[in-house]
Amino acid sequence: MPYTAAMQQGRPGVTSLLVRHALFAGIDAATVDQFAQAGQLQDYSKGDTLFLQDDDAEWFYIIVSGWVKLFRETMDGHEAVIDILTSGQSFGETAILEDGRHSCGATAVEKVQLLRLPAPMLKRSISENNRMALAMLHTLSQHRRRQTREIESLTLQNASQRIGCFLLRLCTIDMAEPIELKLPYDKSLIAARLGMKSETFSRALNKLRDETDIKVEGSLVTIPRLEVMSSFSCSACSNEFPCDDIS
Amino acid sequence: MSDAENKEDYARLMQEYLDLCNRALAANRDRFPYGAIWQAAEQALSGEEMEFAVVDDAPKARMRVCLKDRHLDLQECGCAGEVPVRRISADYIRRLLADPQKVIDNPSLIDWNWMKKSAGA
Repeated sequence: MPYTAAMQQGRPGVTSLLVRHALFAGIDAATVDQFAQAGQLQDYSKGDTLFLQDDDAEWFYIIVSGWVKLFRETMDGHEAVIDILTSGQSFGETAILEDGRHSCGATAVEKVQLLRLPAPMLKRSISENNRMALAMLHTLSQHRRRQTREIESLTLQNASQRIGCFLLRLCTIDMAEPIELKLPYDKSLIAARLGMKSETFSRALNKLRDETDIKVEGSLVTIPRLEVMSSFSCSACSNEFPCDDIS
Repeated sequence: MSDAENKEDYARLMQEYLDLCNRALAANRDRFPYGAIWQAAEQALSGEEMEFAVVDDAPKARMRVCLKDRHLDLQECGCAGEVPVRRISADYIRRLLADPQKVIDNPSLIDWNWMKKSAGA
């Protein structure tokens, strides 16, 4: 993958990207600098594979811009989308919890820029630096929430509520109503992310329209009242809006 | 169910949760990165006692614990005054207790984030 001189000049940008991430918040400057120096900014195109399930984890990643899909292969050879992540979010570091292998694959949903960081450096830091070990609690927590959310979403929420939950994750509580959103990626991928087929997605979206008065035109969604949307979508979930499992 | 029975039920739930946490701590004491994380947390907390509330539709029971030698010791709890900020959902505990071996094999299923918050990290 290209690693351009122009990207190299962005090293202060790399440091500021790191310190904004929960894994590096409160970590001493020398350690952050070590990661910043070792980090590689890389561009990927839509559909590029970053790693596959069961690959050895040599790197972990922080997303600078764009969207990345995490997926697992099912027993029947299909792909189950387990998460879709964007700017500021990290992935791949949970391999440390899985004997150094990635428990899922990752691909670029669209043009994406990533900061790639060496996994052995993270391992060493956890062993040598108590602050970094404590910071890993964030990763543990993220890992747990992802697992819990998947189970809860699929067992407790109906399809319309799952779409509502997805839309709420694009909102913040201080947004002025009516809220206008642009879907971050195409509807078929959203359907896959939510564990439903495209036809189910369309039917569920219609029901969500009826229940919450949202308007959907192409990739634009208008939510007239956040409270109505959260009341409908969160009623079967243990979390309330704004959800605290976003990280 | 009477209030007293109800309270006892939640206290037992909390005790079972604590036991499961301790089994996970013991089984993964030397496993990377868990051992390193818990050791760091123990040093940062340095004997501090932390109070938790188990919550269903409302707070139902409380416990006070201290992390020592990679083990959560149950402390005497006066359990009066303001409800503690560290809250654990009863549903979440029930889900964990439904398959304890899965939790022991995969301790990331337990919410350890309170350690980070308590240590101010």
